[in-house]
Amino acid sequence: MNRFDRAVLDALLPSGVNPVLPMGLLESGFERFWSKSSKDLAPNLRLAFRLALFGGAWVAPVLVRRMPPLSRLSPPEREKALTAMERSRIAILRQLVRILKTVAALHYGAHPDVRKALGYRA
Amino acid sequence: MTDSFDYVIVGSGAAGASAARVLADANPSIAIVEEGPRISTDQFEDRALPTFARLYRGMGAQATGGRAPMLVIQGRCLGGSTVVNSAIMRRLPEDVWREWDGVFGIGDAVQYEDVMAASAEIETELHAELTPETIWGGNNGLLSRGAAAAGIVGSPTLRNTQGCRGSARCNLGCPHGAKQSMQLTYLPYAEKRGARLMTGRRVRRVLMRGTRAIGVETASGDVMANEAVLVAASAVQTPGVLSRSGVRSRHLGQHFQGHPGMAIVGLFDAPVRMSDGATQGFEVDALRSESRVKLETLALPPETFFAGLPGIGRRWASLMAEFSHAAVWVLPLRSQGEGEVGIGWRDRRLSFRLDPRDLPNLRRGLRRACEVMFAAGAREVVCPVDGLPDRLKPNELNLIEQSGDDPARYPLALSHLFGTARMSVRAEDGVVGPDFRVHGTDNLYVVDSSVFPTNLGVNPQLTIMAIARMAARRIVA
Repeated sequence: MNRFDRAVLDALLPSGVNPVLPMGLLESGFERFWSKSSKDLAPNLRLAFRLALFGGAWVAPVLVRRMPPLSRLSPPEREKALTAMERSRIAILRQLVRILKTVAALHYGAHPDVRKALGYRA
Repeated sequence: MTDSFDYVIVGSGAAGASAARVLADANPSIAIVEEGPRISTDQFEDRALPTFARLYRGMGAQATGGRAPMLVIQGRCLGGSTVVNSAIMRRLPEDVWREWDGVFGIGDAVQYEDVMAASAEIETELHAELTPETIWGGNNGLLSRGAAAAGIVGSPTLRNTQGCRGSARCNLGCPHGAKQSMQLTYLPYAEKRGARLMTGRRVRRVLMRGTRAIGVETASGDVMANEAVLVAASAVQTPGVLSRSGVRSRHLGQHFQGHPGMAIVGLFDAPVRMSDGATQGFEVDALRSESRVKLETLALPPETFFAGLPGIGRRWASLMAEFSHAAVWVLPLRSQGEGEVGIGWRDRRLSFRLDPRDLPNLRRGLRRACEVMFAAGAREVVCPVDGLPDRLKPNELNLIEQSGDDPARYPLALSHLFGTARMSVRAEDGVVGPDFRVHGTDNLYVVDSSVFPTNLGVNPQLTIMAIARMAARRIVA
């Protein structure tokens, strides 16, 4: 994953934004997950996720009238840009955000520390 | 390598296994050929990703095409979707059967009394029981409380379970073997009597000699059938198998029906802990008549719970953090729309078009479900339709009605699949005759939900099993 991808993932779920779940997506080891476990993802989902990362990095900033890539923006602006993509009137952009969140959730929700923090017995 | 049996059954899910159970009593020379793997109870995991990869078709990412894609949920393993469903046993609703009889003329072929009798036998064999209150947990208990407070009738679900501990893991494979799914019940029953289970073998086509089915072709060799081939590969797979076998009908792969549905999340002040309790232990049927939706609980693991929540960054995390205080209910819709399962060069491409009446029905159902959630004591409800606020208050439910008719705004998943090789009296009206034989063939049968002319509006596994059982009895008679 490159710095553009990392900027998208960090904006999706940054560290320290919630007292119950202080761990951010990158901090939770998403990159390691991607390199090791992405083979368990359906090929169409893997491809769509790559496309979604690209959209997050290069299209989302435009929606808040900023120059891409997303990594150029401050953390609050990055969140605002991805939020604009999630609320876009263009269905495909909203779907790309859903895909980003689905893949992120498959990793983050299985993390032992996250499950422990939520009181999920596993 | 070529094996030879009297009967070859393609698929080991609710339909294939039920047919195998009947055939095995009469003649044990049966091969059950399954594309997916055989996974034992001790291999089930409490994580979504490896489960999707091993137990679900398309690794859990099978979807319809088009501008508003829907996930299409199916199991792909020995036992089929019965391994990953929530074990709900619902009999064929009489109003649905009347439609089959009146509109499609198959009431004589599939008599209501016969379906009920077969259903009763299956309920006994698979230990159908009402979900006991001791394992309802918070999620199911809240639907019971909310329905009562809202003045609508609800009931615990009837499920094929024995010794369920309420671990809320039905959809990841029951870790205690409590769910009486096919790989633990009918398939071992048939195997004990001499049937052969062949897993990891995808059937490419049925081998035909003229109008007679003589076996099936798989990558690792043919499996020959002396008496008959029964196709029970599901409404998604069956049309392709038939098409590659030379079956021609303008109805093949058409009339693809199902129950598109979505979830709502109630946020409560007190802990709910939906992971303690039966996955789907309580249901409300009362909305079927007013909006064609059924309301039922659905406990989710954190991964799939997170994926369905709105928001980015801080907003997303704040909803995730409410996991232990969240109740999740789902609304499968008896859609009036249809789709298509691609055959030939469009093999297995799926499409589904909602009917113009579907989204208004869904919105009415969503609003009612939110009202029930508030009646149960929720402080806020998450209704993840694009354009709605992340968290709805009781005075904001009118916003649901204003959500519009763009299907892409609704995160729908399609489950319970039907209709792609439907039964008809006349060959020009369907694919399969009243005796379950493919029109124009001598001994090629379809016994799965592909033959249903409509969707059901309720969970279909019991009806699929009952009709497959009736079909097998006729075949062996």
